[in-house]
Amino acid sequence: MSQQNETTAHSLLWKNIFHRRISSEQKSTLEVLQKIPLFESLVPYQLKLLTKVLHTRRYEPNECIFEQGQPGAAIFIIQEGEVSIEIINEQEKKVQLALLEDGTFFGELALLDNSPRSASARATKPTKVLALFRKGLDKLISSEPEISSKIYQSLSILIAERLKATNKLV
Amino acid sequence: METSRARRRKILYALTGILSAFIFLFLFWKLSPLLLPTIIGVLLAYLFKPLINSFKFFKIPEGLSVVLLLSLFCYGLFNAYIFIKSQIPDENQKIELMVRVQYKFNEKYNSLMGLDNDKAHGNFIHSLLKNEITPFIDTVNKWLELNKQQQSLFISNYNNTTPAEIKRKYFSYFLHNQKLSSKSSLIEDSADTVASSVVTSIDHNTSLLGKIVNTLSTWLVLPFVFIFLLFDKGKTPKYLIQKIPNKYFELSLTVIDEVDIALGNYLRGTLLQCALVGLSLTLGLFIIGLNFKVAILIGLFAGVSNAIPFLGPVIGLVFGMSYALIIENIDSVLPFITDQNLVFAVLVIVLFVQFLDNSIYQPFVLGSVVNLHPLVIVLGVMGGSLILGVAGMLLAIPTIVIFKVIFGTLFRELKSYKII
Repeated sequence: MSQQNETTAHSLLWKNIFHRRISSEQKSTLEVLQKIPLFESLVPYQLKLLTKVLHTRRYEPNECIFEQGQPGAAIFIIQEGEVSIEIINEQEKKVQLALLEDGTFFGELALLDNSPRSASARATKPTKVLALFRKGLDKLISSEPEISSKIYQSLSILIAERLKATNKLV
Repeated sequence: METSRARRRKILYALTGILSAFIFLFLFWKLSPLLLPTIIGVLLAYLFKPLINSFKFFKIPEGLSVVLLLSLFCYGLFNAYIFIKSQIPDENQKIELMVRVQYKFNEKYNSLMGLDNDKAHGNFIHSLLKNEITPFIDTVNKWLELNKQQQSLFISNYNNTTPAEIKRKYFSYFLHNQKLSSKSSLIEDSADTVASSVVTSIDHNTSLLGKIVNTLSTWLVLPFVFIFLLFDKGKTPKYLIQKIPNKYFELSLTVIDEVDIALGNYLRGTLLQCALVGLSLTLGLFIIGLNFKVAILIGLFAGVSNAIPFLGPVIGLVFGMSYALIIENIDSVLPFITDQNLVFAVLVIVLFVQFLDNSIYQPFVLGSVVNLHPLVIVLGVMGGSLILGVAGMLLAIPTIVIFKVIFGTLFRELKSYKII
């Protein structure tokens, strides 16, 4: 029994020496990122590096995250809360396209270029999002090319799948 | 209830804002000597940051790459300091240099004006420019004239050293200068003068030491700012971005990134351009026959001062021509260059380097990053010199560019985000 306790104490000691402690906030951020298809090919170490270029923002209910027609610069990942994706139709009426919950993302085309947003995003509950900027990802290319290439590869697959789905509908 | 809370919050925010502004202005006023080293530290960190990022590509840990870069930087700076210090003449060499410059300057002037012998009345150029140029020549002669202490030092130095041929030549220059300045009466009590000069020199050294210590303590802030910013893994900008209201979040990050790219390109471009100008001038001056070490020194000064528009090339020209004026023997790879036409050769080299700078280096390295009106450049450099002296002249154009890029990008993005 005492030998088992000693082994546990030893393993804890080594764990403390070689594993840097991560905050509960970073842990929850990593958990959310692991759920996102764009980042599923990244290993934990790469996800941790990715968190360094992410920005955390909090939105009140009914607060706009971005508006239709504005230039897109970032992809948003919902960590907590709920976001409504809306467009203004030809009759100048607001139409809800989707209601997104935590663990999902929106505005991903902004990672490709700064073309105008095709829809608006509005928080419907107190919401916490993680924003990844195109320029932030570009900067990773020089220092961590593997991370950015994996993300861009996943994004290409995602867009191709959407294109295939649209073609089937046509 | 909510309204009174909101009012109280607004009052608190306003009071805190006013208090912070006062504290900031007070500190800015009191710590103004630290401003310049801080700015230079920030600019250096900004210039070297991409290098740290490229180290990451080779899997070198960030801490190690900062230490490596800093060691290289300090090593380079130390060597440059030692090299420049070894090239700066001591008191005796300075006096000797003044004698040589004055003699050669008058010799070249007389030869150009046809005043080579005492009876000559001068040529056409002399009769045309006599009234305009004579006061200037007199001013230069007054400036180069040795005072009594320096005269006695020169004589004692001459007597104490072996009268080699070259020393005799310099003494003849000295006598010629004395005749010219009609102040040939030498020092009556040279021993007293020498003693007093030694005392003055000691006093001078003491005050110089104090000045060096003061300057060093102020400039110590530079490496701290440099290291802090290089070690900072984006936490400071992230903290500041957190304070931006949600409405302007995407816009502000876009502006910051655009400004970052434009400024980075400009600053790194300017550094490269200055290095190319310095290198070209060093090579050019070496080819026409200047000593290699002197060519490096002039190239170094001209390269650094090239960051000051208009004035940089003039500094290179003045240094180069001054040296060409006093040089006794040249060893040029070009056979047609002699010590008689070396001054013109320097002028040609400086003009050629300027041509290279304007037609190749600037368009190739800087592109159209800085499209400043020449009048803005002139006024900026003059304004910078009034505020911070030589450092102000160096920093004037980067500051104008920073403001131009920030406001230009901000207004463009505010329009595209339909805020204005």
